[in-house]
Amino acid sequence: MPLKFLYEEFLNLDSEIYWKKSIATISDLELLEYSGDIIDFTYDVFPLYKCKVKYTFEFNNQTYIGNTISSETSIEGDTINKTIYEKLYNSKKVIVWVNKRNPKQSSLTKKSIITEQLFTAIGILMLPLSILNLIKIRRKNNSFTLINKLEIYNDR
Amino acid sequence: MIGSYIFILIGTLITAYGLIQFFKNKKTINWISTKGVIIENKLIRKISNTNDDNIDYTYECQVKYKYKPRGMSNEIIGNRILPFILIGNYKDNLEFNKTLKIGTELKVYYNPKKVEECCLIKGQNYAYKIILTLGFICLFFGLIVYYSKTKEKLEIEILNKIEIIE
Repeated sequence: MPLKFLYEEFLNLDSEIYWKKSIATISDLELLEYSGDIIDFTYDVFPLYKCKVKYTFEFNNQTYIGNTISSETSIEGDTINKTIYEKLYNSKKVIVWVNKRNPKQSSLTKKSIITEQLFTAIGILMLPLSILNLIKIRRKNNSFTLINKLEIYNDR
Repeated sequence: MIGSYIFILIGTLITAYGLIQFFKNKKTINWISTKGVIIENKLIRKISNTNDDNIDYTYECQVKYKYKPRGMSNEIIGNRILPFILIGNYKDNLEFNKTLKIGTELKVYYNPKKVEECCLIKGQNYAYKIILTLGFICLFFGLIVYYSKTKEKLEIEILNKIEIIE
């Protein structure tokens, strides 16, 4: 699993870290307000939000349409949608991040490189290696190995 | 958040200590040797843990040896088996206690620039590897906690990442 994560995030050329910056024009912006699941009391009382954005951008002399705000985490239903909507409301042009290998994939925000998942993945890989290393060090330096390193002239 | 800082701080300190030991250990390669004699050898038994049923002991081999650095007339007394860090394993200490009998003549390594710094086994101070490994584990754990974000924080980050041009 950590290897898959590291591959997907860093080695896969479709990864967001390799996406290119471009300029997009907002063509459609809408804030949806809807009630949540009846089972969930808080969502029933407080409305849920979804900021729906549509933008167009040019990449390699072709026009593309996109609608992603972020692929980092799901923000659907959260009040942050309202704040994002307010931020985009009076804007025409925004920065968009485009997958140069597949420009149909785009997002208004780019994923962070240094994340908790990155350290967790490296940590998961390193922990067993570190424990194995500690065992190896101890085995390699047992009492007999150390005794053999002593250079005794007269064995009493 | 404070927890992550504590882990990062402890991890950094342990790693730094491990690195100091690594460089010190590397320096011992240039230490020169001379003949020395064991003058004292004691196996010290210390109580490490007591409970109702039994008592646990740890053992430490304490040796003293004398050596005369080259070009010097007076003898120096040393007590280090490995340079800088002592090993605490029971078996190691028992083996050293058995081997390093009083009167045993053996090679002593000493720092030519600071002749009182000495050891019996040079370049084998593996303890720094253990310290470095533990330091890295601690540091990584701290970094994981430091970069772990709540959903609210992540959402604010997303909001701030949106760049408006016009």
